[in-house]
Amino acid sequence: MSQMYQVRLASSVTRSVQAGDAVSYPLRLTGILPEEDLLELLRQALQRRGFVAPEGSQRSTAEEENPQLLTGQGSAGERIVVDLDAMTVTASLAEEADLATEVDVVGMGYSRKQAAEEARQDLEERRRQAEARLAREGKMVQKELTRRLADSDEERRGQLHEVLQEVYAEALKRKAGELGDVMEVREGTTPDGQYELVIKVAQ
Amino acid sequence: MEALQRIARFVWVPFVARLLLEGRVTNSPHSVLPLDEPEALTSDTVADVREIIRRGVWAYLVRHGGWRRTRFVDPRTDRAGEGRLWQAPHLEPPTFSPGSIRLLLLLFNATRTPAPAPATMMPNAGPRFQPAVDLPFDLSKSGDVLLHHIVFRRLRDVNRNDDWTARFAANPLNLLSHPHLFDVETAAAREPLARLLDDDLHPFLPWLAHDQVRAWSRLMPNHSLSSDGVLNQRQRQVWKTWTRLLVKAGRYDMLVPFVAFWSRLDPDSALRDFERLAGDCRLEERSELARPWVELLELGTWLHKTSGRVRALHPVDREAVHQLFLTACGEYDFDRVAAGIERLIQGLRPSLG
Repeated sequence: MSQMYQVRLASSVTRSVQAGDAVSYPLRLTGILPEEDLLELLRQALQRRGFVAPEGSQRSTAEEENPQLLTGQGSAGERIVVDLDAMTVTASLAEEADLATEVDVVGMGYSRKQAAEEARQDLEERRRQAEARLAREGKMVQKELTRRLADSDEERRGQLHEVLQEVYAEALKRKAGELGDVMEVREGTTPDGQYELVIKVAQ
Repeated sequence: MEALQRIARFVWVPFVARLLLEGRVTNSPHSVLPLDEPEALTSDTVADVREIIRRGVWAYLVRHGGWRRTRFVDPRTDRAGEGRLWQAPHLEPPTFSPGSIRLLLLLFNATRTPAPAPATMMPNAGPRFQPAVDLPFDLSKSGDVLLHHIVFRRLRDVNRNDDWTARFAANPLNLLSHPHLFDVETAAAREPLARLLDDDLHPFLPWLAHDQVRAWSRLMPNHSLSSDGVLNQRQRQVWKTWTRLLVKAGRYDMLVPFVAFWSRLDPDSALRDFERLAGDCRLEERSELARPWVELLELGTWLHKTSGRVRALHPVDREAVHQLFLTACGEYDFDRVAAGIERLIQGLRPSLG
């Protein structure tokens, strides 16, 4: 009676995934005051909300050379960079993941050599399948990151619009002061939830 | 020589007539005609071709918008009027140089098939220009500009391949009607386009505009923008140059075709098209896809701001060119159109502030 040989082979399949995405918004400021004054108000408002100049390892080469940058963090963990020179706001997310899986096969044959060859071929095929599966998982990591960044868009823009609202309120107060004596300043919200600022000026 | 003269008289002359009057480009297996042997063309042949050119150019202009009652401004008198092309004041008959004859000879030669192929009326008979051969084009004669444009349009009708179109880039009418075909830098486009504002050419423009808008509307599938970013960039390049030239020259009346173009845009359809195009792209890729769209749309926004500046002029200070422009803006409800453009821009690339 012939003897069947079995050869078992195992291997690890790994894949490093670097996922990242970014979205930029142009910043448009209504010219209530001269641009440099508005930008200074914006800088101060951002700093009050925790925005700082990028430091150390956070900085890219371009950022090191640009003193007009302020960075902060959004609710989805994204990095927000406000460029007061280029008048843009950029939100970015980056993630690294190491994906791994094990494959093992058993080859059978009437000789050790035959069994080893079958195991080797099987292993190759299983590795290819595992690599394809990890590639798909890697794409899912990227897709999920993009989804997080996209989903947080409305909240992020809402927060930045609140910052701009503060800037415009302060700018209007200063402008009113230039027009005459400010008699009254009243801030509040309308019944439908809109911000309202009333400034009375005596000329 | 007699053989060449017969070919010129009995093949080339009908070829020119069919091209200009019927828009057909015919191939046939005949010898090419020499370009630098005037004896190959008898005086009768040259006289006939000159007459065909004169009539053909005029017939094309009339059929492609000249017959329409169109509003125009006579900048010499600052008076607005309305009428058909032949009623335009100070309209000088087009003048032609010998280059017009040479152009038609070159075109004839480029569309010959080697014998013994049978004669055919080939619907896709595109020209096969030799790479070293330059097409003659003299901007100084109004007739040459118009003829060159008509030849270009006729060839485009029969052959949509783009391999020969670059040879027609020097003609400002071609740049205007088909901006997406030509890769021109702003500075390179400025001089030829400025030629259109000269007295011998600008009177034709209000009527040529009908044809231009029709050509531009083919760039708007489903009343949206083209998905081809390069096409959008080229379109923007030419239009930006031309509209800035018009404003600088005070020719606000000539901005009307752009108001007509933008009024055809359906922002909702465009946004749906873009979402299909962007699909599962990363946000960075999406932003890059959106860029040529946004840059083109910003021309519409600029046009609306221009209309605002013109509207801010006191009625007493408004000239006929301003009034014609504002009338068109009102008729096309350009405020609503501009709001749609802005809504689309925000959908493609939201801004803050």
